[in-house]
Amino acid sequence: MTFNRISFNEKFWADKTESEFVKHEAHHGLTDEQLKEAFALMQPKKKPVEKPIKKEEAK
Amino acid sequence: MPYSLCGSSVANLGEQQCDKSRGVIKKLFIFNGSIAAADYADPASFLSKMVEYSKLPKSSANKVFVLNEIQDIADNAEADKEGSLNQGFKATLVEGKPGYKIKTFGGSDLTKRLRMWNNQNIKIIEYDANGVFWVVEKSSRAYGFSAKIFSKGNKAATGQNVEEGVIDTTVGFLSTSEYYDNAKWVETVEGGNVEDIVSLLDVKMTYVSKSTNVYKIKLEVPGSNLVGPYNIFESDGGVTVAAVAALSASFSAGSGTGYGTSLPITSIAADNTLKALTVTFDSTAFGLLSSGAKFLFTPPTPVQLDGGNVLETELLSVVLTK
Repeated sequence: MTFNRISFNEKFWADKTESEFVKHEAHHGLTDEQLKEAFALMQPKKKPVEKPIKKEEAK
Repeated sequence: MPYSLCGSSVANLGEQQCDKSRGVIKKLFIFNGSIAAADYADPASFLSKMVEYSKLPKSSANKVFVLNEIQDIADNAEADKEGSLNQGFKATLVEGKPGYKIKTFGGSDLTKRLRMWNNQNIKIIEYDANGVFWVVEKSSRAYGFSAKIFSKGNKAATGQNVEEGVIDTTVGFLSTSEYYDNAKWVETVEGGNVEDIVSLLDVKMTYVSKSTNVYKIKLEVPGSNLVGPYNIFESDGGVTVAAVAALSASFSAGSGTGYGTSLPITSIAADNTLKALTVTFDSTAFGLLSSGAKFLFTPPTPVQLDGGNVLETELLSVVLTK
């Protein structure tokens, strides 16, 4: 994922915490807010949970 | 003569219309691998394979290397050895080996690169002015013709002829059987573009500096300029370097025996000040390496670079030290 011309390894950061990311990538000169934004962009989007349709509603 | 054994040893001499014969050779491809029959079942498949193989890393067995377009060609076949009897009979005793001399354009750097192929045992696929590839088929696979080449160039021009930037290459084929008796052709069909078969340029990744687990790596084309190698950042103000950085997921690094222990890369960015890449390795894995430990930093393949709009380039791996 490229953010402000920095290509972050999305796969590597997938199972890491935001604070680990912010600390590790601080040398790029981005602000904490920018780093947090970059981290958020790398998080896999969760699928919305489908509610089971009740029989009464189906009718 | 009513009785003859010729029928079992020769062919009839009828001819198909539009039968192919070698035209003026326009391009040569050094190809030391082979193409499976399924991949030349039709001309488009063959061309597609040649294109694919031209974008392989140079270490690949099936790599296709492309010589620049031929500008001049002269026959250089060895003369047949003839014998005669003193009452006038004359016959060819030994057939001369095929070969030719070609001229291509290229600078001093390309001349040096071509000369690294001098007198190597190689195989060559020809492409002629009629849009026909010439190969040899063995055991249901297509190969180039066994050959040796010898190139020279970068001679002082005299101003009498077209000489500046001309590379002279002698091509000698090793087997008349391959070249004449077992040559086969594949034509290019409408829509097929031989120019899609490309030559790649080596770009070295060179260590600049480091700060713990953050390394600065330049991307440079080695060459004849005494001042130094050419930094590809200069070609477009860093656009290409940024495109390389964007492929961070396709880089890898490893340490230990055979560089088999993964050293994860967490990010890669373009450094516009140093005109280099900023490569950040995982600090935890990096911390486990002993001081002075070597690790191999491996770039994306030419195909991956192609996909990232970094065209006709092969990045070369570099060994870094902690």
